[in-house]
Amino acid sequence: MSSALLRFSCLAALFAAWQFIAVVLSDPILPSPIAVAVRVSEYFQNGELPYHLGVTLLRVACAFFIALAIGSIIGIAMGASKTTDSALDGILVLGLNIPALVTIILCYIWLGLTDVAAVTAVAINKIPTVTVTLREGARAVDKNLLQVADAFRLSRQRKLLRVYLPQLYPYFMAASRNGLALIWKIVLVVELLGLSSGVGFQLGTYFQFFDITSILAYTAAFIVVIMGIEQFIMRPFDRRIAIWKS
Amino acid sequence: MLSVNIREKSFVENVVVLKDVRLEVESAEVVAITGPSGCGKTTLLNLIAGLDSQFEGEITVNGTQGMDSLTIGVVFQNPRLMPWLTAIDNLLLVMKGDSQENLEICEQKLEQTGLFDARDYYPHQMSGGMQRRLAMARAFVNKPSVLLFDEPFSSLDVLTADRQRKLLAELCQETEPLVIFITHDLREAIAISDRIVFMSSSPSRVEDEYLVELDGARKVNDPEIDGIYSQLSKKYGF
Repeated sequence: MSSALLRFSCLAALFAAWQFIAVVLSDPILPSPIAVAVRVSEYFQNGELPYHLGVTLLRVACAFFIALAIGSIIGIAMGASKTTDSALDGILVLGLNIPALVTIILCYIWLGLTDVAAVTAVAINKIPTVTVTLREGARAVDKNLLQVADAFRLSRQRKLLRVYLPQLYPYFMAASRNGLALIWKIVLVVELLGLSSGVGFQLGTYFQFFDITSILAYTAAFIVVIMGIEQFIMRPFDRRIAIWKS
Repeated sequence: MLSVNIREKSFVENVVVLKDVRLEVESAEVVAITGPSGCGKTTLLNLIAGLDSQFEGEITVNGTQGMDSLTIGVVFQNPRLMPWLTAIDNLLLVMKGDSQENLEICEQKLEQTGLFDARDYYPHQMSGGMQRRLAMARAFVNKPSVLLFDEPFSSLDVLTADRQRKLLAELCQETEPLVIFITHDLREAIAISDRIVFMSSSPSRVEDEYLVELDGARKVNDPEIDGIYSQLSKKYGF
């Protein structure tokens, strides 16, 4: 059996079990997958779901790119220079250990209940983990290959783009994957706590009405989108940059 | 003319590796540098290649400080190819730009080194010998005026090493670069060079020089090399 078929079979079995239990219980506390799918369709048609999904994805994208950019620069600087590493290591450990909830609350207090505060809070939470990953990458860079670039008098730009950064691609990919997985979860919490739009806000609203079907509808739609990003953006990109390993 | 004058090169904790190393190499001359293990041959090559600037002394080319004005080709002990680049891209990497003209030069170099059919192979898809030929092609692709070799054939079997030396001689004929060839193999030094420079143990100095007065292409097991080898090996304890 192919791995794709196996994966599909397991998912189908899970949904079948869910449908079976939901029918047997016949209680609004556990709506069936069909009921959830119908609700997704309703929200999609009335425009509510695309709007809130879009808003959340925009926040995820902003936080993701800010965290990746800043975390990468700091991580590479720390990996490449022992002095920078020593100087920033304490701050990094601090950043890694501050609970996400604290950062979110402080950002809302200092910056107000705005998108800027939300994105800042999420980025601050993610930057330390990106930094750690890229620091390891920069430490693992093969100095012998850099010597080749120097020996052949490659320009700084050529050395950076064709010799240095390709060695960091696996670390960028690891940071991106982990980042996406973590960031969308934090974004939902941020929206739940202090914003008036987005999937997190909607989940909070439906929680107050105990509307489990709508909660699952939003959750399912969002997971499908994130899996789509992984499947159609992350994996092809990963395959493309790692083609030489195949 | 390349002029090397290293008064002192030391590493951490004042470990002096090179002391008063003076060497002059004419253009188109092939100089082999040999000496005991750990005497600082690779360190010397790194200084000449400009990979290490922490030393007392100067390296000049025709009286001008530094090697930046020259096109240099280097072959290291290991091929040091970029694993994410194909054979042709590994050559293009060291050229100034990816123009059609440069692409044709790279293809020609692959042809000369018998790697044209492997132009789209990644290094891990090539044998050790192919990787070394590619590293050699990379060193020659810019038509360098100075070529530096750091024991490039040390881990090869006799037959493959002979082939590589023959290839090196062929490639050198075209552009006649100044060649500095580090080796610990005295036979190889005799076979490949016009002059052999013997270095002493650390802190290393130039101990002696020997002019190889043999014409044409040579193999390490040629009878005339045997004679020189036995004479030199007795003298320098190889």
